[in-house]
Order: sequence, then C-alpha cells, then structure tokens
Amino acid sequence: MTTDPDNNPLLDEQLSAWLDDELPRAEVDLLISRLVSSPACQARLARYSLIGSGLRGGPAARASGELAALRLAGRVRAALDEPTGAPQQAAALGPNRTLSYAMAAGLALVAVLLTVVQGPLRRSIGTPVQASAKTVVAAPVPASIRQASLSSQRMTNYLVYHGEYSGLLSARVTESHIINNRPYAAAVQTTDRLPAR
Amino acid sequence: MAGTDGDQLLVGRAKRGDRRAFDLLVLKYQQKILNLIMRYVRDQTEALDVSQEAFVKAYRALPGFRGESAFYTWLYRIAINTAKNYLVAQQRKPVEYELDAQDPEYAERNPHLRDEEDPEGLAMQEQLRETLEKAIAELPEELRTAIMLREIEGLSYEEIAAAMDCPVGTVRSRIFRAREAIEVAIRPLTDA
Repeated sequence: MTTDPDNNPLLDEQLSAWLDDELPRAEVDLLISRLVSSPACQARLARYSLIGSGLRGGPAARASGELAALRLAGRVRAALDEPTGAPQQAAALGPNRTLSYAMAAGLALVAVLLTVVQGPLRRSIGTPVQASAKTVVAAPVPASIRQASLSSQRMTNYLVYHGEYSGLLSARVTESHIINNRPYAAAVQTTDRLPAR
Repeated sequence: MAGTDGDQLLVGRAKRGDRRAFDLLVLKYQQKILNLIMRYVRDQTEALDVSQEAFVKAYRALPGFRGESAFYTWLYRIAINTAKNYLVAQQRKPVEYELDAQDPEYAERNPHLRDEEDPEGLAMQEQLRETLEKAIAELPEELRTAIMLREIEGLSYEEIAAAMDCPVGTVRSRIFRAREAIEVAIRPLTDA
C-alpha cells in the first residue's frame, strides 16, 4: 500500500516541525524528498507559515496570505530558470578586459620609457649601461611603440623647453647634465631649434 | 538546532545544483521574507518583486555562503539590503526603524514596526485575524497554549515542553494539531 503524500498526517507533522526548525536531521531527508514532489504539501507549508504570520499580525498576512507567497515561490523558480549566463559572463569579462588593456598600456609605457632613457644613460655613464640597454633594445617592440619613442636629443630638448612644468631641482639637474655633457650640449645647440619631424 | 541542520542540508544540495532544494528554502522562508520586505516597501506588487530579487540574489550567492551563520540570518541580511537598494534606486527614503529590523528575531516578533498599510490590505488582515482568533479560541487548551507559545512567544519545542511539563514529542504533536485545525479554518480565505 502506498501513502498519499497529499494526505499524510505524519508528513504534515514533519512539515510543521520543519517549519519551526525542530525536525531532526534524520527525518529531513525523507520530508524533503516528499515535499519536492507534492504541490499540495507545498501549499500546506505556505499556509502553516501564514498562520504564524497572521498570529503575529505580519504585513504579508494581509496580502491574502499564501497567495502572494505562493506566487513568490513560482516567480523565484521562473527567474532562476531564465538564462543568466550571458550577462554574468559580460560582467565578468568587463573588468578582465579592462585589466588586459591597462596591462598592455602599462607595458607599452615601460617600453617607451626604457627606449627614451637608454640614450642619455648610454652616453653619460658608458659601456656597462650600454650593454644592458642593448639587451632592452633587443626585445621586440611593436612598430607603433617604436614610432612613438623619441630620440634622446629630442627628449632632452623637450625637458629643457618644458622645464617650467617640472620642479626646480629636477630642472637644475637636467640643465647641469646638459651643461656638463659636452656632446649633448653641442647636439642641443644644433638641433633644438629644428622643427619637429 | 535540528531545523538549522535541515537548512544546511538543503543549502548543501542547492549548492550542488539541486534547484528543488532551494525551492523548499524559498517555500519555508517566503512568508518571513515577504513580511520583512513589506516593512520597507509598502506596495505588495513591489514587495513581491523585491522579495523575488532577494531570493534570486541569495541563490546566486550560495557558493559564498559558508554556513557561519544560520541560513535564515544570511538570507535576512540579503533581503534587507535588497529592499534598501530598491528604495535607493527608486529615490525613496528607507524607513526609520532599520536599526531594529537588523535583528531577525526582534523584527519578527514586533510587527508594529511595519509601515502603514492600504485600506484593502487592512481589511484582509482583519478578516484573517478574526478567523485565526476564532479558530484558536476553539482549540483545546493544550493545543492553544502550545501554538501560542511557539508563534507568539517564539519558544523552542524544548522550552515549551519545559513550560507545559510534557515531552518534546508531545509538543511537536500539539503544535501540528493546532496548525492543522487552524489551517482548515483559514483555507477558504486563502483559496478565495
């Protein structure tokens, strides 16, 4: 003989205890397996829940009780059934892609700075730096970045012309470097007035 | 508590993708969550929308739920935040009792915290209250005491058993029988 889950006092008592968080774990499994397959039991659960709400005068009681609540359960189910992968993927992709772009831009900037800085260092300090600079230059640099890099002379000119935007100390350092470095001073004198290419 | 274990069991299943387990958690707590959200959002339709969103958020956040608090406490916080965010999005001011409402037990036992209600809702609530009162008055004394201690005072079965000087199993049975009788009385209202 099979038990009708829609009309089973034992099951209803378990339901009542479960609603109160008083059902022993050993009984929970069985209850759940029956509950998931019985809309009548689910409706009863909602009504039991409504009794407590009604006795305490909760505002949901006025919403014709289970009515609103049962609709809610169905709506949650429907909402979870909707495909949500796409928006979540897009949201997850957004920051990652931004991060990738930021990293690429950062690497490009580092490459430009290394290219720019290596000239003055090579000439002012000498061979050991030249060797390391060669190592850097040997790394493949995209054409766009190569075009963006400035010649060391033009960079020096830029620093001198725009010295008013930098701190006094750094301006002095730049100027003293130029003055003390004769090849550079000569180069600046001959090229700093040339129009930019 | 045994029931909390039951919730954990359901949460564990839901985490593994068992949607029906989550359905049961929704069924179990929908009334409480709807009550809670209706304290923030007056309109029933809006409250249903916000409640639905809270449950959906909870489902999606389940992988991050580590069980350090009870499931309902965790869900309760999600519901409050969802309601507040909704009001902010609607450019409406959250109600003032939110500090009290942070405590699930306190809010549940203090329905006066709710906002004012519409006349139709009040009439419905009044009808339900009258039906409940009548049904409770007709209950045998031991059933009435058990259900009132549970629903109004919020006592555990063990505490009720101590208060009524009877075994916990008897308390469970009495509360169930009280609910069964009351359910028969309110069914016409809910089916209407």
